[in-house]
Amino acid sequence: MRGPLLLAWKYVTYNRTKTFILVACIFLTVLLPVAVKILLDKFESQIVSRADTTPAVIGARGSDLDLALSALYFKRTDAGTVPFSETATIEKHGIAIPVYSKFTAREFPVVATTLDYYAFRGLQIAEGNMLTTLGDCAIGSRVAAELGIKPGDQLLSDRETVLDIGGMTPLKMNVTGVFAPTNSADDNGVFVDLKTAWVIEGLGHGHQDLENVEDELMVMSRDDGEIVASPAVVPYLEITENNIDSFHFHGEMDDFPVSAIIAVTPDEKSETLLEGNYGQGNATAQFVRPSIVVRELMDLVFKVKSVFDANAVLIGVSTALLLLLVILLSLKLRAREMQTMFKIGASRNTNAKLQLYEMGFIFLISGILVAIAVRVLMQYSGEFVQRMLIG
Amino acid sequence: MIELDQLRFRYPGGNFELEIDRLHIAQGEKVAIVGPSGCGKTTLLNLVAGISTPDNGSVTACGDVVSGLSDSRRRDFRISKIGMVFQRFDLVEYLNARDNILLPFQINRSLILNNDVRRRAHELAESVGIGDKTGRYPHQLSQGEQQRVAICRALVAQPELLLADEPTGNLDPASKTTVLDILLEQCDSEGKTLVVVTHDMSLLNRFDRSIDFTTFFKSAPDSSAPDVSATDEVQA
Repeated sequence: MRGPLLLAWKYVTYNRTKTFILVACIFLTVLLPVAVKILLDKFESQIVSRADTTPAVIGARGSDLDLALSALYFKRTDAGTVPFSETATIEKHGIAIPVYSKFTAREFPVVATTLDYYAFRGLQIAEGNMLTTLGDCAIGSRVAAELGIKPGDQLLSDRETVLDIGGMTPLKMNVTGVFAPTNSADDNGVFVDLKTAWVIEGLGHGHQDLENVEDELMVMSRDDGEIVASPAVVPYLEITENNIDSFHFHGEMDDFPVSAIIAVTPDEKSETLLEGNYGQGNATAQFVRPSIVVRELMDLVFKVKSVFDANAVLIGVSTALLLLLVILLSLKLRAREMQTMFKIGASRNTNAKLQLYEMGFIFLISGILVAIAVRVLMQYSGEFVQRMLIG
Repeated sequence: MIELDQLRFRYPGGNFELEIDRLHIAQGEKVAIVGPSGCGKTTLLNLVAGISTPDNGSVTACGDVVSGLSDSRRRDFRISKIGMVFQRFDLVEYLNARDNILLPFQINRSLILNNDVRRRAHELAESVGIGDKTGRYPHQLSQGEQQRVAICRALVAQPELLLADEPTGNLDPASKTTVLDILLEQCDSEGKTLVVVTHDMSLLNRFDRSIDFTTFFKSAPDSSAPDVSATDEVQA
């Protein structure tokens, strides 16, 4: 490097504060709209692709968006629940895949479902085995990576609230396998059987045999063979080979809750008939097409983005004016330096080149930083959007 | 070396007019130009260096008729044959002393920067006593040191003629003598012609001769004569 190019570089590196401010202005002005676009594109592609592969969802009446997010991303919403018996209605038209995602384990959603779900989403066990018995769980790749757990380890479900001392009892689940990464919400799931979730909820439990118990304080009453346990009986926190037979459920399983039911119908006619079932005024559940719900959401998001884009243009214009002002002030401040160079023998062209190269360096540094930031953003945008969607 | 013939110069819109029928400065001569402010001393240097062009008459320096050269030829003439030293040193703040000395080689393609030039720059810095300070920036140097850097910058391209505009005007008495000694020594050792504009009458005995410029201007000496920055070429 020599000549005006070298002088420009020396100026830029000597006046570090000025260079930093100008670079920061350009960097932020360019990066902000680019970052929003990258994240939004990623968000759209992720949410739309998952919605498109989920033809229909049935769940409690109310917000269709809450229901779709609950079924697709296991988001804890106020969508409510439907009874498990609703699956029977759906099975008249196709396959019903119930999903119950009320609970968490170390802040990852516990997704209770049936084996059909794994086939439907194409989930493959990468390490260990598929869950087989009550209390087993198979975890998504990100859960395994972030919690550092592997098959053979145990995972404790979270209490609903920290202060919920007297509420549901956490269950220590056995990790049997880890699913291969799918770059979807499934990577964040702790998958269990529906019955395991109902045990976590307290609808089922296991405890010592009260018929043969030696300590009568454990029994509140015995009446015609019906034994009522006293509060001194502590339910098992873990399901093992030795105590699994003691686990039982109170109430009818058909009445037990699920968050949503994914309906996979063989043809359009079946889907239309199913939709018709839930279109009646007295229907207790609603039929939702996630692809439509998500596109409505994206339409809203893009409307907001158009406001942001207009804002970004205004910021861009004001930054350009700021740069112009800085250049003009700089020219004024450096008039003597330019004059000296001219007196020594520089052409007016040299002075113009100096200014041009200096701005060139500023834009080059800004451009390199933007490129690095965009690269990093693209690398982590998927993960970021996943976290945003899962919450 | 320098020949001014029937020279007339007037700043546009000003009442200042410089008239020199004939002025000759010989090769290797060391001349002091004296006179009150605004009498045209700096204007003379600008005319000789080709920064300004006369309205009439001719300026010949180092064998070139400067007043007849095109803009680009005058720039090449200036950078290859003239060394200029200014009162306020005019060093570039973001260049260290070494880069300031080599500045002429960075701003004009007619000069080629090579190892010989770098060596010469270093020798010049050594000879004026700032050899160990070439990595310093102007604000890290004293005024006397800054002026020495400026002298090295003026000499690095080995000019035939050195023009100095009040080179000691901003210096303390001790630095004044040192800087003038350096200027005279450098010109003596290489047989260069030196023209120094000065207000300081105590320095006149150090020169071969002095020229009183009071006789060359027509209007009353005042500060209305613009600085060189107002000349047509600089502003164009």
